[in-house]
Amino acid sequence: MSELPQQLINGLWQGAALALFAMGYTLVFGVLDIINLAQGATFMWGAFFAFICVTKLNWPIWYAIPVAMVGAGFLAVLLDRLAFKPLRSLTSGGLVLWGGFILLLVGMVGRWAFPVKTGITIAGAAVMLAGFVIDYRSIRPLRIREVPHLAPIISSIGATFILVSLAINEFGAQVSRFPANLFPVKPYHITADAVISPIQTLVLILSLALMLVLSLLINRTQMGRAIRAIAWSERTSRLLGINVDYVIAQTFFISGALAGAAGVLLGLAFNRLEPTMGGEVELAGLTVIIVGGMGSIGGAAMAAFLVGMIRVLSVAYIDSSFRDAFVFALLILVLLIRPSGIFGRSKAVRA
Amino acid sequence: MLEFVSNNISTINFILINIALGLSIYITLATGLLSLSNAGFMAIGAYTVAIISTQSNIPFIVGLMAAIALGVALALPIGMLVLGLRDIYLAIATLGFGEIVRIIALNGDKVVHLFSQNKELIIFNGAEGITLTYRTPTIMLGLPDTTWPILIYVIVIVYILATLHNSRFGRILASIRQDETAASTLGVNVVHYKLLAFVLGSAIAAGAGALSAPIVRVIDPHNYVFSRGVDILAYAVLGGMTHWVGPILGATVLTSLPEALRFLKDQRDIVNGLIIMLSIIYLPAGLADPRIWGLFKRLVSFPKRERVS
Repeated sequence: MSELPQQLINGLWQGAALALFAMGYTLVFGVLDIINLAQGATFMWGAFFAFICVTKLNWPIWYAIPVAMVGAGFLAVLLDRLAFKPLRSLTSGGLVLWGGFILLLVGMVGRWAFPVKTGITIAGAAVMLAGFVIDYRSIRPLRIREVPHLAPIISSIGATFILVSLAINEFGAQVSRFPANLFPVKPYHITADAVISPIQTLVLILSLALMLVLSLLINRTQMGRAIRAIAWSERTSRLLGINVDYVIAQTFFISGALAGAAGVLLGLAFNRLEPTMGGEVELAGLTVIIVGGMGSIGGAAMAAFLVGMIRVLSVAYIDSSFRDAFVFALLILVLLIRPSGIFGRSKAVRA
Repeated sequence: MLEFVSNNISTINFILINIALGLSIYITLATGLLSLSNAGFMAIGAYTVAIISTQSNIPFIVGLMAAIALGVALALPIGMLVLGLRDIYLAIATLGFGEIVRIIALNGDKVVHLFSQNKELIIFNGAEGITLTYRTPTIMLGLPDTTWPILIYVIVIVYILATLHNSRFGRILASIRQDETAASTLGVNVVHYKLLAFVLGSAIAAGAGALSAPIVRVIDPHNYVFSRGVDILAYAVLGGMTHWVGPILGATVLTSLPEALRFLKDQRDIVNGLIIMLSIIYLPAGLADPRIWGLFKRLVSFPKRERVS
């Protein structure tokens, strides 16, 4: 059992990164009552944004991490506008946005010569921007809808497919890697035979710092107060003069940025980027937010460490191929025994 | 006509199998349950047939029966466990079930070795999967004998579902979808009917998996991952979730579309994703939406001429 301390350290930093991912997940659920299954795709794109910055633009990794977070944040806002907002209310701007998005996709995947391809892509992006603005400025939607409870899940599954295929188009289905010399490799010794590498230390520290920032943001700022108010009751918040649409966009931005950060950090730590990397963390993330209690941010953070430990320990002591089976066993167990989650509280105090 | 059929026989096979799969998720969606376990039950069916036909000489029809029976036998306890959960929780729990099936298929031999004396025994063959020997199909009445069972299976399912649709059972399922609480106050045993719908859907999926085994011939865990479940979901979503015609239309369109638009082959997933998103947003009732059919009828039928006497 001499390797136990080492495994606990691994569980700790992996759990910390997982917590980032899951906190964004649960934040959106708390505010809108929807599961954004495209969070895994946002996570993957966050990692690839940093990859582009480092390999194509030759930026140092210290710039790449915040850029990836911002990029993933905007991606999440865009996803809300494309996949979830039209389910809540149909607007003319939303239609324009969708038209632009299809044009952009055609431009991105089409096999045309240089000017045509770029032209269509840029035209698509421009139309999308216009749609975005029209959508935001619109006062009265064409139709306000009652969201059927299955629709957002199905819609975000569709979005995941598109985002993953786009990544396969851009980067190929194979594993991409960051350049080797981004970080020193000499590990720090914690005990005689338990080590932690610099990148793992970075993952741990940055994750804990972002968790702290998030909790301050939610509990101490005006924005956090607005988010909590909407989670409590959207209708009341609207009556009190909160710009609900804007706050929802902010929520998606935060959630995407956290997913992006988790993507870069785990991508760096394993030095393994692939378009399907979101699927795996997605399932772990779902387990985390259910074990933690849907919508509870603190619960998600605690549950993430638990799930991280289970994953690491089952690989170390049982069999790597059964890792996800244990995570799912925990998931189904919690769902059956206590669907509100181990760390969950009542609806009133969440988010 | 016959030439068209024989040239496109593999597409037709897959359309028929996908129709059966679409119908299997339709029956749960029509009850308002988002169950994502169909790919898992499909895997159970396919593996049952594959293992029976590689390990023994039992005829295919018995394997098919065994697959459906196993589907029912597993769906009953699982349904009892998870059907107490509401929408999102149910989706996640059934997703977890599908993944566990895949992990078991991947590591099945390790489990077998725990209980068996024979450590060389290979049944599941891990990630490589089971390969069935190729047998040239004989043509019977214009169709290969691998297609006939699928066609008959689909006809039987459609007949059952069409009968159920207008029956008390079908109306009860629809009432649960529209408002569970109201249905239960009207004296509907909601849990009982949800379980029936889940078991029926799982059995249909297991049967479809079993029938697909001789056609795909290589049964490996990778065939039954999450994205397969999403494909199945897409058939029902595009077609419409309120009438059994929906999944038939959806599966036919989505399976034949890549064949018709071959240049899209690489971008199948993007097109799939777009179809799912656009149809859930702008076409919530699917292709089988009565309003669309009304519009279609009005466009197609000419106004009746007034008879002048």
